[in-house]
Amino acid sequence: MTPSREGARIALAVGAALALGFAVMACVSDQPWAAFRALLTGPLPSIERAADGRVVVHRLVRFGAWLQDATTLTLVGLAIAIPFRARQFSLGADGQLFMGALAAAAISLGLGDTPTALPLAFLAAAAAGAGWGLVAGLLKTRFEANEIVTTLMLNVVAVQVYRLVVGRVLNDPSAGFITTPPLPEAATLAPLIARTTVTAMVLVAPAAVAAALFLLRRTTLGYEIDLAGANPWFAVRAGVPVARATALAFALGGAFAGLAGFHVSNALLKRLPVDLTPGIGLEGIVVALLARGRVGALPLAALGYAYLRVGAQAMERATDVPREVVLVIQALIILFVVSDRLAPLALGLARRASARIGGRAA
Amino acid sequence: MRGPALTLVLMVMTGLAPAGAGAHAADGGPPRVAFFVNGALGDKSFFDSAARGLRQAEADLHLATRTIEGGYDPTRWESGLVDLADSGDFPIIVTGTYTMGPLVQKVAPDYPDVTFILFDGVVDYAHCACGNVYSMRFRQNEGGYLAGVLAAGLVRAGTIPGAREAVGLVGAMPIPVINDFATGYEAGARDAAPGITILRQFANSFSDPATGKEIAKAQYGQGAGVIFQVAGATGQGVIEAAEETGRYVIGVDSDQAALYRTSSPRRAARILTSVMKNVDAAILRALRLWQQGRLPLGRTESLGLKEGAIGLADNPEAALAVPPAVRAAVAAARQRIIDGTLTVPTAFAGGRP
Repeated sequence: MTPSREGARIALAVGAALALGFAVMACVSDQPWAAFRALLTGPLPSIERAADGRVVVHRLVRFGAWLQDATTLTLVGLAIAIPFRARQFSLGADGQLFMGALAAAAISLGLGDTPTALPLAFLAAAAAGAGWGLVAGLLKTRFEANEIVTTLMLNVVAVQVYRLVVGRVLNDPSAGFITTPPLPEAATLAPLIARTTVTAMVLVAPAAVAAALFLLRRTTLGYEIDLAGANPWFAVRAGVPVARATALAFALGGAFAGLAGFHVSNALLKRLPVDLTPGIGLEGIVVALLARGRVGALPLAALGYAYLRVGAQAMERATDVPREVVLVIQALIILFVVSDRLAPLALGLARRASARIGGRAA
Repeated sequence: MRGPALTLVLMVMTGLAPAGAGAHAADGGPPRVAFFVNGALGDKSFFDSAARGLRQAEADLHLATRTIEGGYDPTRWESGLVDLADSGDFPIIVTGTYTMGPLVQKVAPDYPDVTFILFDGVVDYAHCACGNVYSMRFRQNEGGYLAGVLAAGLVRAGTIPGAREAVGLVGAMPIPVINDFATGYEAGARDAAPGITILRQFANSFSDPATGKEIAKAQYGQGAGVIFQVAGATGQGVIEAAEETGRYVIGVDSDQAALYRTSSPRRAARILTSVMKNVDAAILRALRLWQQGRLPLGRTESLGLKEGAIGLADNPEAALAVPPAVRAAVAAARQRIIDGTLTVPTAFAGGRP
């Protein structure tokens, strides 16, 4: 599909989804317009001019929550999209994220307040995620274990290992809830925008995408991964190490999910609670689907999806629309955006209508 | 695809943003209170009790309240709390649990004009400029003690078919607050029936009734006549297990028999009582003090049996199963705790919570 048609398709899908979402809101809310506006403008800061002429910026935190969310989603999106290049459907971003977070926290706590703690925690997170991804990759290439099953099961293992370590080994008994001690200052990232949780990781995410693009497009390994995905039988005949490329695709994806874990542990929470909720890895699948598996489109898809998530929260906070309906509307929008046939259908109808009128297609 | 999509984003940013600004500044209306839940309502226990307190405040004190469910993802709680403080719409923010304590401690100094009421959690006043935070701790060990006296007394009376000399406890997680309930419970059970077997297991979740039910069935299977559940929404599974096995359960936080009385009377009849942690009454009291300008900001209050913040609920259906001697023992223990002649051991470091 050409870029302009793709753009038209997405605009149409979002428009249709918002229209349906509005219909749902009108059914459950006394103030559907206010709710709709909260959904659409929620993640944006509000800028007001105070009585004395000073400019006051409110709600910067929501803007921050948007960027923070998009950062995590971009990274876990990479963890899905890269194995997908090798035609592997990995659901393991969650486990890789938990392993990354755990490794980053353990290294940070172990090294304490030293300048090397931050870079080493960063690397440890990537390595732990990659290692966990590699396990799924090797199970697939050595033993032909279905990657959907193995990645899902490895998620369970990773989450329970995480809980065991946080609860028994790294536990801070003075905290009042089960959690690690606060990570040392030198190992954590300071916010770039005051009163938000936006840190340098917001720059790491696009850099990670660029690195992944470079790897996939400009290196032999990237080419091998693409070949392994496009036609593994042909690739084997042509002498491409398909098994190695496939396993490494899992590891590469895992490294990025590990960085998402670093984002959670060393930038957002700055300590790890035992009940960190799994599930963000599955959101990565949504992002990868929205980007239609294209690595370059991931940041945009993540920004769009995060916008929706934060807007939905803003709507919940500002109006009487209950949380459940918010989740329904969110899901509807995704359903519409991934519905391929919707746009051709609508565009076809529009073309027929415009042909009848005799005007030019808009 | 970038072009059109980006245009859309920009359009939304520039065109619609000002419309959202200052949409609801509080002017003239009653003071607005926000209740931030770091989880979700519907646990029939702790958070629901707090929400009840806010509804009561709306009726009695003519405050406008809003409950915001922050969900179970901890990465969103800080921004959720800052968002409420930053909006300028709410002069008071109510939130609870020990998990939120450090977040309140971090956020409160940035918003000196906002009053924070933190229940069942604390901030470290020595290390933060938290003159706008009022925090409440509960001596839940005292309620746990009474539950232990009741459970062990009833089991020893030998009137529960199939039960052996054992009582059980199902906890959500081994965190200090839950351990505090458990410590009191075990002390009460031992004092009332020396040598009794006490089973204790954790579900490792506040929101997993299936696991709660499984653990409860195992404990009933080992002969427990009564189980004290301290497990939030997980505890709903324990109550189900009590109904199915015909044994007894002691509820927590809210009067859980009352919650089931109309929807499931059979289930309600298995709930001997509930250790009430009257979060609702405590929040109502704090809001009333705030309205009168007498809220002791900048400090922690400890609330227990004496203050009426902890107590046992009356459940007439199940009370018939309790022999008068056991009831008298519970009443006597309660009086001794209030008088100060009996100090219940606590799980908190440094003695009293």
